[in-house]
Amino acid sequence: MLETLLIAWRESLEAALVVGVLLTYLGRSGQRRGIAYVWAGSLLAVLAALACGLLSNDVASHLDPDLQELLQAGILFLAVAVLTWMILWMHRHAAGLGGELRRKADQALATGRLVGVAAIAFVAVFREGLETVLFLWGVLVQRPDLTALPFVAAGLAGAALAVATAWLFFRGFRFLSLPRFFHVTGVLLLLVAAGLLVSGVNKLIGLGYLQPIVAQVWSTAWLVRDDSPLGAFLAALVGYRSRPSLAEVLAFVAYLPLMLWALHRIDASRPQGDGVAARSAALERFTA
Amino acid sequence: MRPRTPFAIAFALLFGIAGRVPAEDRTIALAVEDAGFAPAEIEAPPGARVRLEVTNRTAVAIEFESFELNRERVIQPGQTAAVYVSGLEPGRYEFFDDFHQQRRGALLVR
Repeated sequence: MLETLLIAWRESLEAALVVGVLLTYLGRSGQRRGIAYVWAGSLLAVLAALACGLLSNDVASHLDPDLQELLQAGILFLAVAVLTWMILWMHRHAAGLGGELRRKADQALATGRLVGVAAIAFVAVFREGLETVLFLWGVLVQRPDLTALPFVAAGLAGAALAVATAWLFFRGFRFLSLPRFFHVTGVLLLLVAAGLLVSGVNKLIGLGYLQPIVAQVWSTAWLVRDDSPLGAFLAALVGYRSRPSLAEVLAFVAYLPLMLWALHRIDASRPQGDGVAARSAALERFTA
Repeated sequence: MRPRTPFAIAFALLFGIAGRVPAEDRTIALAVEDAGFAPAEIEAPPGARVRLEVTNRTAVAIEFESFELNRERVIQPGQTAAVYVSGLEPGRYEFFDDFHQQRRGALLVR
């Protein structure tokens, strides 16, 4: 039963952390509507995962499993694209933040962006939610009497524990000052996006569409095992794996400097008048 | 350069280097049964490109997973999924069913 709990914890953790970082970021920048969209996307994903999980024995068997996996990789790349876009406009928007942050609440996000935020939450929760549903459904089917109930309860407790883990983690962020908060969550979002990119590349390699180039560049299993709680946490947050291939390392390593360059360009291309406002906002944040 | 250009170049390079995929050297069939993996041990030569065809012969979903091979796939009952591994050094690479962890097996590369 402990095993059931741990598996469900691990399967749900990535979804909880991705939704957690979105909620934390939107919450601190006063985007109430954004928060509502994240919850809506998550809820929709839970329902969709339940529906797909329960129907899957009928539906999925008509869909080639390798095609399903390819579809998943495509959805991951799409999520990376939306998340990248979100990080960039958040950064652009951040210049206008500062003292007037709270007053600007609830009006800054256009509907398209809200849908984007909801879509990221949907993808994260659906992907992991589906696995959790399939796993728990299997537990239920294997023990078709009441003895299954404690196991299903353990599974649900594991999912709840994942939410609690994410909540605890992001609760710590409340103690950061506002500028540091935006800095830390910004970097975290970049790492989450890079992690999703690596997961997509990993799927393409597993499907035989990409070469690993070098199958295992290094092994950090001696330091952080994949099946340790820390390994599971890092895997869920930033796509950690102890024995990555060179193609995965390259994808991760290429994404970050490219993004830093794009973010720097946004800073550099701010018009002069805006620059003054940005500077005073930055000063305000610095002294806050 | 427009902001997107370097991204395009980086990923074109990645897919250019990693995208030239040779045919597999061998295909190995691997079944997941209630009792465990059949066969529980499979073998491949070092450096080979191997296509594992993993069939779920149980009544519920399984997850073929290996930290040592850096692979994971959820497989529905009755379905067969292709899992590629390649360029492995000699050694023993364990895999398991993440949803039923008493089912374990290994790929021996030698």
